[in-house]
Amino acid sequence: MPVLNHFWHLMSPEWVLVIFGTLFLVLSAVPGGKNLRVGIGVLAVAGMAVALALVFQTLAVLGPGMKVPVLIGLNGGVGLVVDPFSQILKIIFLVGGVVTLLMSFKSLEVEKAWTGEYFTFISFAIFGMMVMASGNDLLTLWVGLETMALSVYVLAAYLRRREHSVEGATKYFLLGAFSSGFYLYGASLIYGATGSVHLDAIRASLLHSVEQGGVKSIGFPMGAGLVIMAVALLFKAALVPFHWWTPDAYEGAITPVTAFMSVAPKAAAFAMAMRIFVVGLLPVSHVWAGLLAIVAILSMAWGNIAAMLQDNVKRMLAYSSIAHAGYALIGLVATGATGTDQGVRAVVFYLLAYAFMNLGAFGLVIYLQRDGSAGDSFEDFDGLVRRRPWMAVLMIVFLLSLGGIPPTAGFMGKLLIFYAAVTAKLYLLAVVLAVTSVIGMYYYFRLILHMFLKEAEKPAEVQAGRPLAFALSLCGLFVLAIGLYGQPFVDWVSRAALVVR
Amino acid sequence: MASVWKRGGVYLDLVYTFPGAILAGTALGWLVDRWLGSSPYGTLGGFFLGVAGAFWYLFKMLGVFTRKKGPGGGT
Repeated sequence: MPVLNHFWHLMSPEWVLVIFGTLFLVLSAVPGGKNLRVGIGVLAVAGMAVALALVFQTLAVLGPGMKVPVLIGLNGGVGLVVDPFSQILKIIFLVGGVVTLLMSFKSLEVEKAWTGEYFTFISFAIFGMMVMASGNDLLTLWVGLETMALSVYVLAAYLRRREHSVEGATKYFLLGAFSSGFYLYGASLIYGATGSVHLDAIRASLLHSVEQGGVKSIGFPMGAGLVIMAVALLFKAALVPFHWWTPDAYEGAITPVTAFMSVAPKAAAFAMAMRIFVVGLLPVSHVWAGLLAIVAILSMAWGNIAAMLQDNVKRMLAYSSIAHAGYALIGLVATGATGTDQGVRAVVFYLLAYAFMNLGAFGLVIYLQRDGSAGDSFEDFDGLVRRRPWMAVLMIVFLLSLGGIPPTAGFMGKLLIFYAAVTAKLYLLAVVLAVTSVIGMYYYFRLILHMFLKEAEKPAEVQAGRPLAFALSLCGLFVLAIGLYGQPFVDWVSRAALVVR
Repeated sequence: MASVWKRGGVYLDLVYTFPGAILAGTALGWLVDRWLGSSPYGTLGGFFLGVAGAFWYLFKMLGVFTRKKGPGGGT
């Protein structure tokens, strides 16, 4: 019988999501009109807000460096832990969830696609992500990964009568299924090499091996397990060369789901990667740090170059998200190179900043969505500054932040990543980060030029609606607040890094 | 009937190509290790590239499968 240590208290945010998600599933079977569906949406926002409040409450009771085991297996191994790292990541997922739900009201209305299941799958996906942030063994992490992935596959195919949506989701599902299989194969190889699936035991076993036989003593099974594990995580984080599914899946999905996919599952994949690589596999960082450094360079270069060539804003943001994942990966490489938590701090901070700026940018696409148009072509943004100046200003803030221009959250995020790279003497990565950021400005400014210099031929009448306007304002506020007064956010995020070490 | 065989051929092709790419990448990496004495990094790097190639081929095949008209002119 597993030991449940503070289980119900510390895991209360997860249970709130499960209870609410199941409730939406039941309510969706109740016959009712649009009011019932909208009611479910409001309830979903409330449920996620409650979960968010509970995460803040549990974070407040955790001291710096505190790591509480909440699920202990028969062999004494810890399956789930709650620490500031997990709680701060959970806050990022839940904030992403709340903003996505607020932005969904308009899209679901325009697409005439209100269902209760939509909110169920968002809740379940975030539940999976929360398990990924708290997981302390390879199998618990996999359960979280699959809970998230299966929910997101369904969300990607939500517009099931649309060919594009089904095609993108099919590719995502099949490639995702292969990568999940790979993950399990990698886990079994690591289990064979170290005798455990628990991260702390894996670390102890690897430390022993390295001390006995040097850094080349890990053997091919362990090395192959590590590489396979990396493949699965690179796929989930959409990093080159496992990124091909991203543009199709992002373009085909309903825009709030695209926004959600580009932020929350990506952050969850990074959370899981940090747990596995920094907690479990740090003694063999000489193997994975080099591999991830090459992946980061390829992702930054290809993500930015491919984004320049796109004529669709959603596809452009999809490729841009690949580049941003490459930037964040530098932090993980820096931790591998130095063994300190500075890189982890930079990654968590970047994920926080990226959540607000990218959700905001997708929010503007949703704002321009109308009956018969997804609002995702560059022409949809023509003359926006004259038609809706405040919306144009918000989009400029989000785009400048994505480009890393001060005083925005994106600038602070890139600064921390750059600093982590330089401190770890990863000068090549720092140079590629700087150069590709400049390349990235091309396509962000291209959209800004459309808003300023082009005239709309037939200006379409679009309305934001209160939930979307609130979500956009929230994103804009945080992008500027983090950029102008970033130190409290850096200090807050630093709590997460201390625990991973 | 012929198109069914052609489509079957595409699926069967994947069965061999996917593991084949991984094995080929690993073997090339192993040869690099023998040549440069860089074990185990060459083998692991080749293995990684083989997996990447296998996934890329799978993605290309999925593009064929998800088209309205199947490979070989089938419907």
